Amino acid sequence: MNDDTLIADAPIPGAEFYENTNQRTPCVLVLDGSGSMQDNGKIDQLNRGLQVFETALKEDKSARTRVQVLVIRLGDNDDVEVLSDWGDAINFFAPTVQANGRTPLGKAVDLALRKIEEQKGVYKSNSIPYTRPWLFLMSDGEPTDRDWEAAADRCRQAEQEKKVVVWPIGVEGADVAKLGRFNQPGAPVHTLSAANFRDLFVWLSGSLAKVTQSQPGQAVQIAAPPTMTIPT
Amino acid sequence: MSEGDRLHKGAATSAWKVVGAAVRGPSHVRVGQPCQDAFEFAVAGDWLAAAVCDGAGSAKRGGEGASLLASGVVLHLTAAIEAGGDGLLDCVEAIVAGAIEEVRGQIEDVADPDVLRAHHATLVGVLAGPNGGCFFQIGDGAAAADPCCGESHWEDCVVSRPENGEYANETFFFTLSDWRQHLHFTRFPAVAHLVLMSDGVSGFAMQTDCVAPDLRFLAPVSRYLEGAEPEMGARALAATLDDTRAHAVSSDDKALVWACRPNGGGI
Repeated sequence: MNDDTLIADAPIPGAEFYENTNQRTPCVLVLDGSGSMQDNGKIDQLNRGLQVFETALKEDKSARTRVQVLVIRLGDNDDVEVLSDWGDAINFFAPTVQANGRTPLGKAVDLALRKIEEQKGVYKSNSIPYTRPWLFLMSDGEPTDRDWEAAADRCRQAEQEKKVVVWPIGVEGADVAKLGRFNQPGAPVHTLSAANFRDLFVWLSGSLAKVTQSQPGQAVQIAAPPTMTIPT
Repeated sequence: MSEGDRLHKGAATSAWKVVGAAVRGPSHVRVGQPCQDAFEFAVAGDWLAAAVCDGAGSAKRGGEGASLLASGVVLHLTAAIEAGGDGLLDCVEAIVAGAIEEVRGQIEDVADPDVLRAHHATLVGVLAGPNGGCFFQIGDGAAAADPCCGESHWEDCVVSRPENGEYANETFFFTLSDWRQHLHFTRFPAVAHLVLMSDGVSGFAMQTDCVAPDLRFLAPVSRYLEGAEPEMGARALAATLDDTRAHAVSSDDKALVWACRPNGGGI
């Protein structure tokens, strides 16, 4: 090998590599903060899982600047609240979810869909490219708000129109059929026990990191974590 | 030329000096997929025809689609150059559409409509002569033409920008039924340099939204390639695209074709 070979196979001197993409992947977590989440320490496990999610997202070089997170809690007297508004993962601090009251899942999903469309508007007006938003529904109980079925239809419709990817997760004891109403007919509803929250959030952060690295035309292969089960 | 994961090629005539390279990205290395970016170029008389194509990772034969498209389009354009004359740019739209149609025809199988879809690929190409040229593009990637303007290289470029769907990881391919709606042309006057790239490169070689080249990358690369012997330059370009800093920005495959008119095109 002569000197010319060595020079030719080295990168061109002076070339700099600054990342110029500002792409975002929006992710909404709708978390059940109803009274029944007190049972079997589920709420404590959920909060620990959220902290793991925060750490894992921040540790991923791509995800920490590209994933944006919003957290909605449902509970109390059929109330919903934004616990953590849109922000880059690098600035995300896991909120503490309190367990108390009822399960207004329909109302929470309506709020999530509204927040997603608002955020898309922000991206569009600022020419920020984005991937399809993820909507994560996590509940252990039956919806208690009167119009939840209409909200479930709107959610199903949004998924069908490719406005969002919906992930319903049933926490032990959940009515899987009712949660399934929020997604396409026949689409799986994942279930997990309180002990698996940590695994779920590790999986979620890893999957989001994968999406941030996805390229046009490339289907992202996302598999359920081994500790989750898909009812047949 | 091919060395493992790197493809490169360089050539020079009195009219054009051209250097191209394609390298496999870490995301394809991880899953054992080959490089699905491809490039081709040819110089015929005063004219240059070149194409950079990016095969879709989700398509079974995206890489093959990219190779067939790049070589097919350049072959077709070269034939048009040799048959044509001064009016070549007046009918560039028809020539390019004819080239794409021809490649689609080679792949298509009337008995199996899935065959075409299996070859999904994007296209960024150029037909350029001494007095100007035209970029053509379907989907993502980018191109830039640097007018003949003395020392201020790459500062007042004509740019061909990517077209994506609503979502950043969705784009358009020559294999889609509505490909003509997504075939965009960008004309430019006489240029000193031009560059074509796949989306794996545009993340650092172009500014945000691909509005203009990022000179922190392109200016030193262009200066180096101007001074290098073409084949040596091509190898250095491949090494640059295969640099860990490039792969840190994008894990995708990367392809780039750079060309210059010696002495700024004599202007």
